[in-house]
Amino acid sequence: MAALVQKIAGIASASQPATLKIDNISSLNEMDASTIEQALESELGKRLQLVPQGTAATQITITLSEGETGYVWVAQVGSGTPEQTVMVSIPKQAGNSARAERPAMTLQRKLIWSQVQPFLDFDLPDGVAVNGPGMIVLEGSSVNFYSSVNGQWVAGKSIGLKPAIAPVRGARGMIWDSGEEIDMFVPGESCSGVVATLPELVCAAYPSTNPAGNWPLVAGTEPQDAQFESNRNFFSGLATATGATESAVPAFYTAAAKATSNGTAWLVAGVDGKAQLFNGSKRLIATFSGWGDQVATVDTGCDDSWQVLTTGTGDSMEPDHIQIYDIRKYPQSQTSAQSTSSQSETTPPEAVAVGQPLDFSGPILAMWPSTDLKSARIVSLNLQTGMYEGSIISVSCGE
Amino acid sequence: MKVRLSLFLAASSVVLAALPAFTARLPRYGGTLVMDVGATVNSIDPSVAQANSDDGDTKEQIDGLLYAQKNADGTFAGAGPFRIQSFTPDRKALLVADGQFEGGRPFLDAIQIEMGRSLQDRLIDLQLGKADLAEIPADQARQAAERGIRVSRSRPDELIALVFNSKRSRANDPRIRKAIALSVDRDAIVNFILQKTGEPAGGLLPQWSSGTAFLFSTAADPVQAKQLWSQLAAPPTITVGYDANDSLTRSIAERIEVNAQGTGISMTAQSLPNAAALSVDARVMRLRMPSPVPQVALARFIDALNPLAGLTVSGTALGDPADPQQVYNTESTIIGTYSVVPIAWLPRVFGLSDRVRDWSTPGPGDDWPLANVWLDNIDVQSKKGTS
Repeated sequence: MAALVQKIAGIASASQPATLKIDNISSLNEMDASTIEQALESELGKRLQLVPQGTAATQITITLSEGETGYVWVAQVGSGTPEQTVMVSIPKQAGNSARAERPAMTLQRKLIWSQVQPFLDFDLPDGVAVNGPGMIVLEGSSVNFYSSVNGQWVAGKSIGLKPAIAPVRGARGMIWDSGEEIDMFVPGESCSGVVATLPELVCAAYPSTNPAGNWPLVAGTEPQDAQFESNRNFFSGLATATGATESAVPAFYTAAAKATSNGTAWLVAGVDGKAQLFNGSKRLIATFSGWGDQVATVDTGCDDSWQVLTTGTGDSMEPDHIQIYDIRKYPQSQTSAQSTSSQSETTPPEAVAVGQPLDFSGPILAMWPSTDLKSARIVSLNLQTGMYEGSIISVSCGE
Repeated sequence: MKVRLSLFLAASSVVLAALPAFTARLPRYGGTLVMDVGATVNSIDPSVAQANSDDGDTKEQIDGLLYAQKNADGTFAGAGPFRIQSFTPDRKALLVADGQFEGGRPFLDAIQIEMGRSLQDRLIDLQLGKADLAEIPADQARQAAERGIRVSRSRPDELIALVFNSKRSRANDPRIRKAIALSVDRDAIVNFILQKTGEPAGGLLPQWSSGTAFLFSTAADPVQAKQLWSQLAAPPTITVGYDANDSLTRSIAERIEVNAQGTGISMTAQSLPNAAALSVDARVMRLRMPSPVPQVALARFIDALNPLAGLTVSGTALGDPADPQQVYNTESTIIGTYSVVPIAWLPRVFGLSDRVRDWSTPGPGDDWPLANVWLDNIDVQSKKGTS
């Protein structure tokens, strides 16, 4: 900004009154553009005699523009002589500040992080040491730590990953934060560490530490492993206690669980595009369609029913959304299961959309529930800015 | 005051029944994508360059799928995401996914490329579901969409410009060049000839690349054009050439002729048998950006324009990265001579079948991004292509 002000001051006479007009034709949002406009006006006001429009001989028009390599701020200065044009380039920075976006009905999104490079998952661990990393960003080939300094995320240690398999297109990854310990998974490699000693991590390629290639899933009371297909992008199924694949539940992309007194009920987003609901006995009791490939249980605390978050359909070139569904008429307990059992023969479980969807300007690439199920971590691509964004989604019961 | 979530249930509830629809978001593996191209390729030897009149870079694009990188000398090296399974010169190529590709196995199992397909054949194949992907000329994009074809277009990256021949004396008077430049109605060209698929061009780089294209005017000024022309003692007849094999440049040249004649400028459009023909005072040229980076694209454009326009500026002086002021000043100097008159920007347009997912129309210098494409509803249309 100082460079542009300097250039303008170099060609506009300080003794002549000047008018200032600022246009934004870039992808900067209204709030950011307004902040820049105020700052430019303030800085120029210190160097030039700014007056209201139409009362000065010198006209300064600043255009906040944008090109392939970054923002371009252009100033056109006219004062009787042929107009002069000066400009500066402003690189696009990774987003640094956490800011809350406008909540949409009961779903609330808090943007935590954005960067140009794709990433798979992120986490804000609790209980890190003083000056320890407050944020972990998992990329396909590295684990990156960031510390919060004066409200800004500052890059710290980066640990390279060396998976023991050929690179996977469309790879997925996950951070499992159990509170005291933390695990990270990418196809062919996992890392473990203690939150209090981060950024120290021990990473090992499959299959030495994880012969079955299992990743943990949030299942309510305790984690449930699922076998991840390392050279693809889906889980081949839930893992049994012995590590084998549970045959009753088909291959899936994501799964949402709900503890019931007769076992854990699972809602899986299958590779066939259908969301299938299995009761605690792993019996298929309902199929839903029209959903995307990401589902996650969320404990809203609003009532005792089972709510799940789902993404939309489409592909990575299209906007996406998250919708809350209330899963109704599923067998919740032995007692209610018996009463619901006969009922379910005539009225199968239903998924009821709750409230308004929360829109995203690009695809949601990953949605993982927090281990306490209070929120979900979202990795999405902003198609307007080209930035990959990490957000926390939570649900409020409304105001 | 907190309101229980259940209150929202009754207010806005949509019950999803168990319907047998297929939905997707995360990539699916498998399937054969069928692609129609207008060009013919008679060799897949990476050392053999081949210029095609229609799709232009088909051979290079196929090489981009078979090899990991393109060297500075134009040769290719390293294993790409696909391997060639079968090849029939000028007719058909079948490429299969390489499971060991260092960038990750493609989602598709195979790509079947059908060569030498006319535009009409390509459009019909897309309509009938016989092809998943085909390039469509930009000026046909709207018609294709009206036929129900799913159309994908890039950011505008091909410049159509009127370039004056510096070796012809009639083009050496700057008043003549400026008068003609001011007579061109770019909006009409974009609206009627390009069917609104494109945008008027005032500079040598599009706004999305340089960020400064808005500084160049695209408006016609027939009054000033007429004044300039009237200052000439002996107004000549200007000949404007176009590629005889390119119907789009012909239409644009003829429109420029109409605009010029409307302001009293004597002009004749004429076809040229080959790209190198220099027997005209100016010609309509097509220049595709080789890179999205402004200084790279501008330097290449200057190289391409110089033989005809005899520009006094050089693209090699642009730094890397170049200061936008430097790029703008260079652009401005060229435009200010009226030796090159930007007319319009065209996007690259492709037609897609409904089952193609994650297709992103390639930008300047990009390969066909087919390693990232996947097919939805593979089972529904498994009869297509070669399994």
